[in-house]
Amino acid sequence: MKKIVLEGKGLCKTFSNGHLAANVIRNLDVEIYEGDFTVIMGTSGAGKSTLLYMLSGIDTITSGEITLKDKRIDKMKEKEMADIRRKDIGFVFQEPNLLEEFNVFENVAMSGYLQTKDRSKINERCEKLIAEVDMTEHKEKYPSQLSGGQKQRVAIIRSLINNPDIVFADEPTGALNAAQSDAVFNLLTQIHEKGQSILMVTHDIKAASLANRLLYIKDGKIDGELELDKFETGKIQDREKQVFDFVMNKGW
Amino acid sequence: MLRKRITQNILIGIIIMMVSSLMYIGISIVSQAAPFQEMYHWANAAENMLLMTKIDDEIQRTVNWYENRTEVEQVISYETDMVNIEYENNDKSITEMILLTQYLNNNDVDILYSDSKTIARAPKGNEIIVSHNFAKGRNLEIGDTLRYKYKEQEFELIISSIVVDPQFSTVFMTPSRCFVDPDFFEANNIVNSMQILSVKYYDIENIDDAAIFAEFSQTQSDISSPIFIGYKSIENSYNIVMGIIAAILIVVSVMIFIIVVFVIKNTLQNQILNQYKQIGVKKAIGYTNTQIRNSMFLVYGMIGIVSSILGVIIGLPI
Repeated sequence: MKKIVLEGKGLCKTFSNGHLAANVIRNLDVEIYEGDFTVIMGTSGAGKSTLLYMLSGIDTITSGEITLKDKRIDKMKEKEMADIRRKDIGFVFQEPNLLEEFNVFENVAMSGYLQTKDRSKINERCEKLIAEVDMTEHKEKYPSQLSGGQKQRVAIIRSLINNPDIVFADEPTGALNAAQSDAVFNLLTQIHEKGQSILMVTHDIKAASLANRLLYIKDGKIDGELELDKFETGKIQDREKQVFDFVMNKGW
Repeated sequence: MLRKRITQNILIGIIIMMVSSLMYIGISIVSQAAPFQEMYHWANAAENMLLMTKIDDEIQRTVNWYENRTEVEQVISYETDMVNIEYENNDKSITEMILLTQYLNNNDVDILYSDSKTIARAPKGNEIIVSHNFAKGRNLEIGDTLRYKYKEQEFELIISSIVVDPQFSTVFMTPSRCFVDPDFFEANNIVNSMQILSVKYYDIENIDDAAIFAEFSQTQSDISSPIFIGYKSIENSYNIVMGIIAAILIVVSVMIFIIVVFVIKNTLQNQILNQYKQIGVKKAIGYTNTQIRNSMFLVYGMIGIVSSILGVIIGLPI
C-alpha cells in the first residue's frame, strides 16, 4: 500500500465573469502517492492546469479539501501558505521564470535562504544539485546568458532545494526544442528514481511515458487512470505506444 | 485580489507623498534662497528718500537733522544729474535723458547684482553701469559708448557692467538710472542740479513717515523745496509687486507638485505592473507578501530618498 502525499476531495473550481460561470473542475477526487511520477493529461481546456494550480495552492479553490501530508492547505492563511510553498512544494513552470537579477547559484539557493539562516548547508546542497545537472561552470552566469534548456534545468533544481514533499511541473518542456526537452526528461527521471514525488501536466506523449501513473482528465473530472511499470530506458517506445493507445482511446 | 490592489495603491501613494513632499521642500528652499532675500532686505532698509536742489548748506543741515534722530541708522546723499546722452542703436544716433547717479558703495553691501551674463564691479573713471532693463531695451552691451555733453566738455562713458538696480526701489528703480564713479562729478567740475538723500531706518515697519516729515518741515522751515517720498507711500505698490511674485511662485510650485505626483504615480505603477510575473514567481518559490512588499519599499524608498536629496542639492545653487 502506497502512502498518499497529496489528496484532493470534492474539488470544484468555478470561473465567473459577471453572469457567465464556467465550472472547470467538477467535484473531483484525486490521490497522489509518495514516490510516484504522476502525469495529468487531457484535451485543451479540460482543466488540467487549473487542477495543478489548485493542488499546489497557487490558485484558490471554490470548494473541496486539499491535504498535503496531513495538512489542510486550502484554508491556510497567506503567511502559512508561503511557508508551505517554500518548504513542502516545488514548482516548475512552462517558462523557466528565473529571477533575472540573481545568478544561477542564487536563483537555486534563494528559497533555501528564505527558509533557514544556516546558509552553509544550503550552499552545499546547491553546489551538489548544480553539479548533478552539469551546470557548475555556469553557476556565476545570469539567466539572460543561458539557453532555454539550461534555464529550465536550473528551474527544476531550484524547486528541489528544500527537499519538497512534491514537485509540480506545468508542461516543463512546452517551450523547449527536442534536444533540450530530452535533457529535461532525463533530469526528471533521475529525480524520480531518487524517490521524489512529481506531479506533471503535459501534452507530450514522450514526457507522459516517463511517468508510472497517468491520469486522464475530461470535462473537469478524472476519466481514466493508467498504471505503468517501472521505467526502463530500453523500452521507451513500448511505453509511448501504451500511453498513446490509452489517451487515444479516451478521445484525446 | 482586491485587497492586494488596495495595498499596492497605498504603497504607491506613500512613496509618492514622500518623494513629492521632499521635492516640494526642495522647491521652497530653492525659491527662498539668496540673493533675492538679501536684495529685498536691503531695499526695505533704504527706502525713505528726499530729493532736493543742490545747496550744500541745506543738504548738510538735512543730513544732520536725520542723523540726530534715534530711529535713523544711516543717511547717505547721492549726487545726481539729469543729462542727455547719445548712443548708437542699429546705426542710428539716439538722444535720451538719463539719471546720472554717483555709485556709492554703502550699507556694508558691496555686491552689485549683475545680470546673469556678466560679473559686475564698481565703475571707475569714465565707466558707467546701466540697468539690465535699460540695456536690453536699447541693444546695449558691455563696452558700448554713451556720449554726454556738459558745457564745452564731451565725455565718452563706457558701459562696464549691466546690473539689476542696486537701489532696488520702486520709485528710483527707473530703467534710465545709471551709475558712475563717485568722483566723476567732482573730477570734471560738473555742477549738479540735485542731490538724493537716502535714509535708512532701524525698523522700517514702525516708522510714521508723515509725522517725521511734518516735524522736519516745522523745524527746518527755511529749507527751500524738499520732495519727500516715504516708505509708507510706496509700500502698497511694493506689496503688490511682492504679492505677484509670491503668487507666481505658489502657482508654479503647485503645478509642478501636481505634475510630479502624476508622473511618479504612473512610472511606479508601470514599473510594478511590469514585475507582475516576477512577483508571481517569487510567491511561488515561497516569498511572503511582506517580504515582497519590503523589497519594493526598499528599492523605491531608496530611489525616492536619493533622488530627492540629489534634486535639492542640484537645485540649491540656482
